[in-house]
Amino acid sequence: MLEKDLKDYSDEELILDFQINNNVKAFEILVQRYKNPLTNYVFRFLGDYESCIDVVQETMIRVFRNKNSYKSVAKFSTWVYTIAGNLAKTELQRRKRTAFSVERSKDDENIIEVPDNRYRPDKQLENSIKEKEIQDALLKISETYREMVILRDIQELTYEEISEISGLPVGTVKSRINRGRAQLQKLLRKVYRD
Amino acid sequence: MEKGFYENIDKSSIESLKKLTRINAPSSFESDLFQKIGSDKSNLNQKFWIKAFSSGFFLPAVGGLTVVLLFLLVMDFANNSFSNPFGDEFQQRFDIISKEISSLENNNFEKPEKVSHFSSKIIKREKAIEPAMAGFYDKTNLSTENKVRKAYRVSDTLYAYQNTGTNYKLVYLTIEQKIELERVKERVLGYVL
Repeated sequence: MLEKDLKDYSDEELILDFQINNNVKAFEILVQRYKNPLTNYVFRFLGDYESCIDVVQETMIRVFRNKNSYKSVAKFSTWVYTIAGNLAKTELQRRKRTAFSVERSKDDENIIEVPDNRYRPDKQLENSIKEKEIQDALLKISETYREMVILRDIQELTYEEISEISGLPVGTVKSRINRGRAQLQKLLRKVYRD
Repeated sequence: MEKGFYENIDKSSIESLKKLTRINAPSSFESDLFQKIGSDKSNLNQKFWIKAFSSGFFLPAVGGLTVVLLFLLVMDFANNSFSNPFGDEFQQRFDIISKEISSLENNNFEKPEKVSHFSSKIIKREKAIEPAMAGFYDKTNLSTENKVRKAYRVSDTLYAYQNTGTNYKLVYLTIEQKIELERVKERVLGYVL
């Protein structure tokens, strides 16, 4: 299969080519296609660019290593989003544990200042206070709702795709998205008033 | 969920989410990724062992092994002298009883008197207590007559007899002992009743 042809292939065809022929070129094209959407998704979920890049790279490594775990019955996009989402949640849990240990050390009068690097690499966000406030509000809503809102309103996936990624019925997905939106709206009331 | 819940969502908030700046991966994303994949391949096994030992993954196993080794060191499995008293066959205490009989028979002691002339008296007494002893296992397999026939008088109250190499004792109480026994029995019964 020529490289020129590969670029015209669908995600599912590419992963199959990678599975069957161990064609790394097919994997490279998948990386090119998904690195930015996944970066955007994970960044909105974690709010930290450095961790986000680590998570997306780990997602791609998992795809590379576990290529045979992919079953052609599912869409490649939902599979890769599921991996990224799970890794992002794990990262969030790890961060919570770290935050807990920092909190405990405060009791010993050793206050550790944890630098907030969330926006450091992304100069565009610094220019927009409104965007920063939206991102902050997004991080304040519960993880379950946040994931759904990001997938729907930022990544613009369909309800069916989100249902496949989360493993939840479409009705539950819709309900969670709306609850998330409501929470977000409450938090952003001040921003919109201005 | 109340009616109008969905309608209360301000469309502008959804729109503002859609308009958020797209965050892209850095330009070095692919090169970093393939470098990681390459190093991961070569270090996969090595990493596992380093992780396993540095994170204390094997700590419980090492602890368990240490306990087992200590146990093996403390226990002397070469010593087979241990025997289950409930599982083993009854062992004759020759050191206690045989000596007595053998000494009687070997004339090291005063020649024991054969109790044949007491036979009728002893048989009578033995038969009197036989029903009460019926529940007990008699290792001798001898009839009362045979027991008495084989018995030696050791003292006024002790008669010894032997069957198939096993020694037994017949103990008869003196009048004083009987009186004392009756007294104790009465006291015990009086206390119980």
